[in-house]
Amino acid sequence: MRTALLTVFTALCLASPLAAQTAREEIEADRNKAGGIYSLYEEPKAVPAPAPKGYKPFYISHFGRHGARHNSADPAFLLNLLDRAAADGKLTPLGEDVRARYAALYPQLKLREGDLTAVGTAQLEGIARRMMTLYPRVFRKGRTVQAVSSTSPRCLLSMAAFLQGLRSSGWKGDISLDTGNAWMRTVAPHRKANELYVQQRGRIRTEDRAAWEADVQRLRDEIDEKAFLSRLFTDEEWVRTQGDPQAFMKGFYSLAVSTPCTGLPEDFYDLFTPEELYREWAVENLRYYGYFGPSKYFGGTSWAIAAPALEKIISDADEDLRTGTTAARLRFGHDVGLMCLYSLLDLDGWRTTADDPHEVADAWRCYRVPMAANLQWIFYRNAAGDILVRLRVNEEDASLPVEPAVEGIFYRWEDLRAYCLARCSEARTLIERMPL
Amino acid sequence: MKKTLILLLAVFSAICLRAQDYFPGANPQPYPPFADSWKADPMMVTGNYLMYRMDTPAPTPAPAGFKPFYISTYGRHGARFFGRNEMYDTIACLFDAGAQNDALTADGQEFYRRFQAVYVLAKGRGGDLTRLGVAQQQELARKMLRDYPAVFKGQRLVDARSTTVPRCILSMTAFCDALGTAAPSLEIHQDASAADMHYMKPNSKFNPKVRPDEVDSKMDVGEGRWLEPWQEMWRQTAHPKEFFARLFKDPSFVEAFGDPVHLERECFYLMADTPCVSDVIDFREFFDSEEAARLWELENWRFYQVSGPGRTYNDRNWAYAEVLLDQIVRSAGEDMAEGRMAARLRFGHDYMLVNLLTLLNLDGWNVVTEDFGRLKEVFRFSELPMATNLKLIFYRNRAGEVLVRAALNDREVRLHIDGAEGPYYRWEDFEAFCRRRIALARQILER
Repeated sequence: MRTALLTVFTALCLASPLAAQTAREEIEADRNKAGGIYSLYEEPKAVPAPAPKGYKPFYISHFGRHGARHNSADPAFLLNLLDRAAADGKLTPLGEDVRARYAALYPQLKLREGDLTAVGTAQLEGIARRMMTLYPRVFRKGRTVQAVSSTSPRCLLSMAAFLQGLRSSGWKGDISLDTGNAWMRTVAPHRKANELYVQQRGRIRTEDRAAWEADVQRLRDEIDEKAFLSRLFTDEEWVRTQGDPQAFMKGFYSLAVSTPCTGLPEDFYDLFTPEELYREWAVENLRYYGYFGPSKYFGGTSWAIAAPALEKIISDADEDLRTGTTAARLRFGHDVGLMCLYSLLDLDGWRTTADDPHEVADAWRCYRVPMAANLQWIFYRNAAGDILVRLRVNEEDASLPVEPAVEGIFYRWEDLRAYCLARCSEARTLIERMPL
Repeated sequence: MKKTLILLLAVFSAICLRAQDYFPGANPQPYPPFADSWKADPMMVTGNYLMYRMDTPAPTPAPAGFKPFYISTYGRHGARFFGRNEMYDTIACLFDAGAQNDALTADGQEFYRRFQAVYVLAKGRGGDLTRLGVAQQQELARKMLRDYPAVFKGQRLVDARSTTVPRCILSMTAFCDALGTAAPSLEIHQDASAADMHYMKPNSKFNPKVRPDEVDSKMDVGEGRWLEPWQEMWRQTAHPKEFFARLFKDPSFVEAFGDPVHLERECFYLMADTPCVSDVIDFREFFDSEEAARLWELENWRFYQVSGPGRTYNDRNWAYAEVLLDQIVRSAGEDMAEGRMAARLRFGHDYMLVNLLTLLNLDGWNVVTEDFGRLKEVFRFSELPMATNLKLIFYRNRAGEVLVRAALNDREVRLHIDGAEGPYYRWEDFEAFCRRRIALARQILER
């Protein structure tokens, strides 16, 4: 009885209040989320809802972000600053300590900007293994896997890690592998290989861009970087002679949130107060929200660039359903592709907007696209040949504003397909209607 | 004036003499006569786009009691589309216009028909690994496993590195995936990072020893010191009028689309690369064999200058490979001491491989000549197929003695190591030999 009560109590604590948590509360409860797009992937907790009676999984379409990676900023930037400060005697005891810790770490960061880490490799292997465990039928003998990657090395290595995960689960089927600029249009929609992206960016008005940048800057200006830097440096005036203090603080934030991605036994979160971490995250979040989320900044078209990516998912599925030989299509890309796809699909709250930059944090949260984030489409079929699809975001069920064919999160493929194509056509229209 | 000239000549011959001395024991006739090879092998014309030949001769048996236990490689990516999209686009433009204007001969129409079949696959794919390139790497992995099963037995490690170029990374992934599938007990690590580029591509900006005027494309592609003389040689050698007369009713039609020599060269590249894209489409018949041999020689010369012992870079090009050889030797020492490593695989490029072969004083890669006519007898870039690779295979006996054998494209090669017969060399002798070559290369770079 006591156990049962406890279970109910825990379930209540976990479920209801969390749903309504603000971003600030979520970050305070879980520091990992302060990392934004650097957040580490959380393995799924929920047991997936069973498929409707008579339906069996037979095909998977997967779009995933690369796994945990090194900071994309040059690691020498902060080291040089700390070294100069040490030479000029401008470091506080904490500053000295940070310098020593960072210098010890530096050889493992040098020339590694943006590289996939061992943590990232393990993330991708894990996702593949869980896919094999949940859907062994999909990967039955004689069926192939088609994998494509962005040309970015970390994405290619993520693809390699995913394959290792499939192989270590015993899968021995044939695989087709590809990468190249020709694929970027659909695996990395924020690159110039995507004509829709080029068209959209070409039509962004200078004043619109300025408005977005001003809002981001306003949020940044609310952070007290002097207070932060005074904990590391003894001389505020000196810091200013070295460069932009805001850029320095942002540099330390990137260092703090990217270090867990390396798997190295170091941690720089102690440099920040919870409030500072939250605010740094909020600035980054606003930046992503503006450029790739459902924001109104650029005529509300930021996310629309993902239309070719979604159209490809649909046309690949059409082909694979026809041939019947493909078990899975795997695509390895970037955070932006996923963010845009989510808004395009209008997945669970990914279209929520806020006009006030301060409220964006509670409307749209970039830590929902952590390292190794992924969107999976699992196709089910019954004996009559009816096809249902379930969508999973980071391996947890997701829902769309489409009337489900049956209870829950299973959509009839024809309905979902029509819905997706309508969304794509809406996205294209939006961009076409942007003033020239 | 005369005195200066004599002095210059003296200095020049001194340099040449020194260059020859860098390659003691070099075999001046490493290949059968060019004319014979050309006749015997109709695919030789594809040069370094040649498809890898999997049917390799069995190696000399290892001395009694010695078993292979470790392999170290440097290899090139698999078959790829031609490096520049413009090649395909230029030919498309030219032949589209030819067809529209009824300017094509029957041969020209056939050329165009075949080209369209290639273009569907190749458009926008410049430099990418092809489907056949993926298959090549997968097959090479299975072959390595077949050839050296003892090396990959048990829970051993494989460490694979690639340059950061996508076709190399994909080659590595294809290779490692096939290897891991066939030998699931292996623990395979793959990486591609700027942190390894200083040895994976020794003339990259990541190698602190590289001179700014020799970094990346300033030496190997596009804008090297070989470019102007090579362009001039093409102007003097190619016969675009005759070539295009077979394809166009009036060969002057092509002039509106660019320099006819450049256009013929693009067609030559298309011919050479197509086996990488399709195993059924072939453009070789559109080239007169003698013209093709002349053009092959020009490309061979370019290769010789860029990455072999040609005089353009005064030995600095191949000397850069010292950092790669050093990494190979050092990691071999560490891996043998540690014991779990089955193989170290490196996925890079053909230029860097030739640098390494020349540094190792391997026959066929070490003859210094300024005689253009003779070059084709002593240096052949068709020995560098797609997925071309150098393997060092390590053998050990019960007493712990280690022997090393080298194979280029899975064909045994002999090293010029004093007092050693080969093809099995004592590790200590091999290591000392490599150290001497590395020291020589460093001397050259410091000169």
